[in-house]
Amino acid sequence: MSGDVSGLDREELARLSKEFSDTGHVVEPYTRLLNLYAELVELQQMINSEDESLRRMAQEERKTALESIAACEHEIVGALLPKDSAESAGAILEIRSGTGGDEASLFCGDLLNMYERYAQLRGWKWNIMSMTKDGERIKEAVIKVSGRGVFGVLMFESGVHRVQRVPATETQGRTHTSTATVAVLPQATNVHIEIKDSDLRIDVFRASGKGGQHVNTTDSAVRITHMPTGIVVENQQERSQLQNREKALQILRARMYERERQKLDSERRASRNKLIGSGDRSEKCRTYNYAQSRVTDHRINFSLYDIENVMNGTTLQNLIDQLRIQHDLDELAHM
Amino acid sequence: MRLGPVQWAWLRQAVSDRVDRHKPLQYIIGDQPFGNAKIGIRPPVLIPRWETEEWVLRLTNMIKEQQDTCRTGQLPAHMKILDACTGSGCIALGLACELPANSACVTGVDISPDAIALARDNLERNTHSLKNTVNFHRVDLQSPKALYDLREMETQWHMLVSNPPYVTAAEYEQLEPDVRDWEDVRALLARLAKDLGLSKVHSDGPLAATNFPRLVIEIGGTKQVEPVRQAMHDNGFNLTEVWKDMADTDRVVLGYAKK
Repeated sequence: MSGDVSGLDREELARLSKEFSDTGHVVEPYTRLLNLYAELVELQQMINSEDESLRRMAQEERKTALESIAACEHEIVGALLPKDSAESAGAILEIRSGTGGDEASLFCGDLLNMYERYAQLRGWKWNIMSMTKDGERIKEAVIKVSGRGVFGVLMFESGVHRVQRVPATETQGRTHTSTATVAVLPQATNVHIEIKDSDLRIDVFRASGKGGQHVNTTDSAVRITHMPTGIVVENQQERSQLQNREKALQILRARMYERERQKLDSERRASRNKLIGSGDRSEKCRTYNYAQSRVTDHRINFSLYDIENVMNGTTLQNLIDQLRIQHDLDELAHM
Repeated sequence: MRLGPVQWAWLRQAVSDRVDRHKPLQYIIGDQPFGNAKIGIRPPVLIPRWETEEWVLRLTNMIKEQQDTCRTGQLPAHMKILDACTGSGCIALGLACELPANSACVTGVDISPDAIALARDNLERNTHSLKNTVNFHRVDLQSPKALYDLREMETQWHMLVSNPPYVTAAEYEQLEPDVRDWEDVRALLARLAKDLGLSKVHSDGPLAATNFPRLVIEIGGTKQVEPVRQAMHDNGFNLTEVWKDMADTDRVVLGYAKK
């Protein structure tokens, strides 16, 4: 910001400074891009030169320059898009086994491991809010994943995940198809959602009788019903009823936040035909085919033939990157 | 997971204790969370109940709010709180963990040497999460010397909190064995109305704020509201309030001194 600012009053100056700093994240990669293009022109001249070794070197450098340009352009596209404020928040990850009985709950456990490992690799905090399991079989798990921009990364995971493989429980070697549903909700901050105490019905199990010194309750399960919306949340993960209530409230808050967010979302994007679903569970979003070692994301028609590394979290990022690119392009097209 | 012979023996013992002898699960596991404090427990000291945890957290939130809104001078900078019949020390430690740093000094007293020893262990165990001073002393509140002892400790108490024994003799006979056979009868069985003599511990303080509870007493249901309320009135706490617990049972009577 050069030039004379003395004529501006304090508020105007503050507003402009903010606007200026907000453009920084677009300007910076753009400047870098211009430099890369300039570099490219120079390299082009070198490629046209007589000197054989110089030409080969220039060709090598040209390749890396083009890669940097591509990365830079993605960055600019991302920077130009309006930020969904929820994307920078943490997320509540809910995984439930779908159709397919035992095999579905085994797959549910596999997905859970995949996300946990991935979260570790990204340095995110992994906090189990509630889990219904029987050994390796997971019926349902709710996890709080905290870290910077978690929701923005995990949001594409919402949907029905399908597995095709010969289950460990299968004796005749037949391939089964089972499903698990994943729902990713942005972790609500207290600011956005107001829950009135009078709207809540809190049930503590086995609370009949006198309570207090008269009985020794070890059942610490808590169920909260938000009466205006009918949302019901249960938690029995902790040994303290109070802690269970806190956790249940957090889950409730996240669900209500997601509800509000989806309402806003659909109003804002009613006219848009989005390629990536809004986590609508009726659609199948990804298939894990073990026999072919293939993971296919149906929304972007993209396959990775590397199921082992996807399942241990190391190459899940590749899939998410592709989804992000498609999402950003889609958003841009509708701007 | 494979268990070694020692672990197997422990597990077999634990199951038999639980199934045949009705040993409360909390005694087997050996601790119980209470707010942010972790309370170790061993027989026969009373196991912290969730109802108590609930009102202690509610009380600390109330104090915190008032400390935020009150003008300086209306609340003491350093509240002296007495926890009578402290048992495992859960209330005293819970308050000291939740209240703003250095805003209170909590003293827990109990008749049972077992309880005081355990409370002191718990003090040790929670030192890292305590934000206020806590100490424990053995005092028999029934003895004529009690008042003198308490005055020795502190010239003035700003607040008395207590989970005194409140199970009636008739109810005591009907208690489940995991309570009756394991927990200290002195922590459960109410000894007439005498326990309410506790309220005399209070001495007139300089607190101007009438919206600040001076007595916080846990009770065993609706039937006990009136007698406790009456006793409070008789001792000059002319404003009372009743808190219900999550299970909708009358659980705490609070006494305020209105000038």
